[in-house]
Parts: sequence; C-alpha cells; structure tokens
Amino acid sequence: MTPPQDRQEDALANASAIESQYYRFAVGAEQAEFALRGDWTILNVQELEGIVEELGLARIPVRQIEFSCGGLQNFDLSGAWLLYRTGESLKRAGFNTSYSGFRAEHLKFIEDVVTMEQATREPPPVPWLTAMSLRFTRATASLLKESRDRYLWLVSIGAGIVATVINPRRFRWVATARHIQDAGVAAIGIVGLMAFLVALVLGFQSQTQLSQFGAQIFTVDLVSISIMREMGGLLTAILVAGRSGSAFAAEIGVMQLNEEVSAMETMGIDPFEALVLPRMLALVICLPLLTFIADIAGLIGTVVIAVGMLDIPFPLVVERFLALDPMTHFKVGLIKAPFFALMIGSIGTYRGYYVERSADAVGRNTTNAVVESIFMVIVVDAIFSIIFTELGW
Amino acid sequence: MSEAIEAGNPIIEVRNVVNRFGSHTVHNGINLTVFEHEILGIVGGSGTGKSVLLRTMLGLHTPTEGDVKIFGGDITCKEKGSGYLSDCHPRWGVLFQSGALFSGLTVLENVVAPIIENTSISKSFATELGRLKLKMVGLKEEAFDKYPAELSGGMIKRAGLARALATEPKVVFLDEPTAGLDPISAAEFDQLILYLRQHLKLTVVMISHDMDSLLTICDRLAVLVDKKVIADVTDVIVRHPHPWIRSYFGGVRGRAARGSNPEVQQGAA
Repeated sequence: MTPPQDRQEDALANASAIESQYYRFAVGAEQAEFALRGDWTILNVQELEGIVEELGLARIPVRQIEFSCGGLQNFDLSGAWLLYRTGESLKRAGFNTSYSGFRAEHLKFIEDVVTMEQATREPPPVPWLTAMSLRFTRATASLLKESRDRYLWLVSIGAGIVATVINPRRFRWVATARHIQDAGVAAIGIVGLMAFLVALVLGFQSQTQLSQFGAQIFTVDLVSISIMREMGGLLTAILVAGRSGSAFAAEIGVMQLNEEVSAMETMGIDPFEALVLPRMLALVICLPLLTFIADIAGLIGTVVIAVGMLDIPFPLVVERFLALDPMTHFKVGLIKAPFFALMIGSIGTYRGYYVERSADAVGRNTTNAVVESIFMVIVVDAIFSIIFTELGW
Repeated sequence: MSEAIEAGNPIIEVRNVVNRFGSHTVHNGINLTVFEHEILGIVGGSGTGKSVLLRTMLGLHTPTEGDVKIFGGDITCKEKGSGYLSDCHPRWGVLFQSGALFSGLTVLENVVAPIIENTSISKSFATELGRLKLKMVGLKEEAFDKYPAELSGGMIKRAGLARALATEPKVVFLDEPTAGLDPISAAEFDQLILYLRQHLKLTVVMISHDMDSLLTICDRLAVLVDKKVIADVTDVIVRHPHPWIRSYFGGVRGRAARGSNPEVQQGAA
C-alpha cells in the first residue's frame, strides 16, 4: 500500500470526519456516515466519481455505511447513478448500506435506478476467436448476397432491354432525354476542355523527348493516335463515371431512403423501367458522343501544339494525320464507349438501388459506385486492347 | 435551486414575435410564456407556424421582430457571438418529429454523443448514463446496439426522447411526439412524458395534434389562431369561444377523445 493511502486509512480509522464541498464523511464505532452535500449533477459527476474513488470507502473498519442525502442542493439522475453505483460496489464487498434523508424525488430517482440496474451492465465481451469467425461468416454471407444481387441486376437489365425492344412505346423517352441533358449535354464543356488540355500536355512532353532524335514531326502522330485510340474514350469514361455514376447512385439511393421506390412499386410503376433503363440508355447514347467531342478537342489541341510550338505548317500536319489511317483509330476509340457506358450505368444504378436505409450508406455507395465503375472501365479497356491487337487494328 | 422549482417561474418568454417570409406573415405579434414544471401543448391548424414557433424558441430561426428569452437570456441571435445559445444546448433537449437520430451511430451512441460533447464526462461513465437513459424510456437492451434504420417508429421516438434527456435538461421540446404511433403506444408515450416530468422536474413544450395527448397530459394549451397565440389552462381553452378552437375541440374527434379520456388514463396507469 502506498503512503498517502495509509494516511487516509489512518484518518478514517481515527473516526475523524473528512469534509469537502460535496460530502462529509465520518466513521463512528459501529457505522460510517457519508453525507452528500451541494450539487450532485451531470455537471460535476465526473469530478465526483474521482473524489469518491479516491476516498476509498471500502477500506473503513466498520461494515455499516449510511448515505444521508438531506444536505443535497441539486441532484439529478447522473448523480443518483453515481451514488447507487458506489453503494452497490460496497454491497458486493460485504458492507451493509442504507440511505436516509431523501426528499421524495431523490428516493424515486434511486428506485428508478435500482429497477434499471440490469440495463447498465455492459454485455460480456465476445471471445476473439468467436468474434473473428462471426465476422468471417458475415463477410462471406454478404459477399454471396452481393454476387447474387449483381447477377440478378444484370439479368434485369438484359430483360429490360429486351422488353423495350419488343415494346418501345413503354420506354420512358422523356426521362431519358432529361438524363441525356444532365449526363451528356451538361458535360460537353468539361470533356472538351479536358481532352484539349491532355493533348497539349502530351504534345509538350513528347516533343521534348522526340526532339532529341530530331523527330518532332512524329509528335503529331503520337498525340493524335493516343487521343483517338485511348485517351479520348478512357478519360471521358472516367469523367462521366465521376459525374454521372455518382449522381445515379446518390439519386436512386435517396429515393430508396424516401421510400419513393416502394411508392412506385405500389402504383404499378416498375422502378427498373422508370429509373434504371432511362439512365442506362442516356449514358449509352451520350458516352460515344462525348468521346467524339473529346477526340475533336484533342485533335484541335494537337494542331495547336504542332503549329504553335513546333512550327509545323498546318497543311503538313493535316497531311501527316491523314496518312495515319485515322478512321481505324477513331473506330477503335469509339467502339469501346457504349461498353464503358454500360459499366458505369449498371454499377451506378445498382449501388443506388441496393442502399441500406441510412444517410452514410448513400455516401458509401456513391463512393463505391465511382471507384468500381472506374475500375471496370479500365478492365474493359484492357480487354478491348487485347481484342484489337488480335484483330490487327 | 431545486426548492425554487414550483409552477410560476417563467422559463421561456416569447415577446411580440413577428415572423414574415417574403410578404407572407406567419406570426403577427406572438406572446407566450412557458412556466417551469408545466407541460404546454402547442396547437394550430396546418400552416399556422407551429414548427416555426418551435424553431424560433430553439434559436434555429431568427424572428423578423421580437424577443425570445430562455432561462432569462435572449436567444434570437441578434448579438452575434454572444455565446448564450451554446450555453443553452445542454439545458434543453429536443425530440424532432421524425426522431432525427444520427443514422451513422447506434442508438446507444446517439444518446452518449450529446453527453460527451457537452460535458467532461469520460466515455465509460457516459456510456453507463446512456444505457440508463435508454432503459428509462423503456427501450429493451437488444435495441441499444442497433442502428436507427433498424428500429420501428415507436422505438425511434423513445430513442429520440432518451437522447433529448441525455444531458439532464430542464426543458424538453417535443415535436409531435405521438404522431405515427398506434393509440396504445401513444398512450404509453404520454404516460412516459408525465412520469419523466414528475420525477425529473422537466418543463415540456410539445406540438401535438393528438387529442388524447393534449387533453390527458397538457397543463396548458397554446393555440395558434389568426397569427396570434391564445394560451390558457387546458379546461379553459377547450371551452374557448373562438370559432376555430370550438370546431377543433368540439368536432367529432375531439368529443370522442374527451369522452374516452378517463379510460385512457386508467388503462395506461
């Protein structure tokens, strides 16, 4: 035992009283009295907890403790809880406890606290092995469920497309037009600017390298080919995934939270037909067009850097460009766009549709929609690279 | 201070409050006093500005004109940065109509959050207090670690009330506490409010359309009519000659509620 505690024990054993702003503690021959004073409320309960603990009530020589509460000014449930908790731990240590001097509401508090005692016990901690295996099982189960959901999602998209082809009048063209406006028309400026700047940067970087071999003229070839084959399509898809994929997930997710989707179902409106297919179609229409715009803007960038910086005369630039068989490269870039669109659209809408009912789930799903669709766009791009290499395009 | 609590001390004073949105006047000179230890019900037709009044009392909305005093200080935020409003936060609790539980936190974390934010209490002690509050409003322990999305409407209201009571406030504001609950749950909730008022010495300000609630537990009613407030003891308000109040309490629904009123009290007691 450390010296300060010894001193305190002595003090208690000598039957002297300890006093403070909050209590008066006196130990007699047969029983100890702990008189509460002042405020025992939520505002100072933390301080009181420390004080009571430091006092070390359990070390007194007598077995009987009385808590008298007549001197209390303010007393609330937090204070009552602290008092009750102290009493209980003493009881467990073999003391007899009693309470006196309550005003009615104080006593009622304590009674309330006593009846609620069960609730405040922390549940026993789960052993780590059980916790681990529980987590593993849950993760596996959710993975399986997600795979099934995704499979069903793709099936539904396929079925929706077939249904639309069979009966095009059911299709929601107005909604589609709105999404073309939001996802396509509104993105023209940023897509064009991005492609233009990327072409400038590419041209700038490549001409410094190529000039070492005196081959600046090939800058035109390098930049225009990379824009048309890869950069235009890929960067546009990534930009649209960030712009529209996230918007789809958030819009549909919030509609789910608002029970708008359920409302549609009860009215006999197929939410798939009303929400998912128009967005998908809008993207499938917009992404190739945006890619086309990106290509054009990129080529303008190429011309700007070739004529402006490399002093290649404009007719020569055009001549070199036409010698590249530009239509093939153009085709290679554009063919991929609708597939990118399918990826972005299906992942965005899926993430919105299967949202749990909470606000942070919407945020999480939106993030996942963007990350997954960008990843899938790159995977699809890689697959196409292999195919085009095999075809010799 | 506890000795001083007896009905009679004004705790909230709304003085000549005017609320105007564009050219549309919602409140035109409202005067309302809430006394300590009473349950005041705010009643009014749709669009009469019950919620605006509540938001004004909470400092969420600055009135066009007039003063709102709570615990003796002005909270209309006319003097920016006076800091009075933040003093009020631990002294009042609010139960919003849809619960407004933080969806990213479990029920228990929702109740513990205001304690930790407003006091220096340690996490473990705050958690104990949180569990106590949740038990106090009658939630089962299984619900403590659930997220709000997994709760029923009644449980959300109870959890919201527990959160409103987390920092041992003097005043609680309840926005339609029994809306969306079945009559049995609603009656239980009424009794819970009465019980808490009695033992925690609360002052309760509630907006309600639930006739049973209003007539069973409210000491006084404040009716929003003609852009003003008519406030008086419940029995007097029920017999008030104003045509809107008469049709409100005199209608079929009102009569039914008054007729069944004693039964409700007995049944839930």
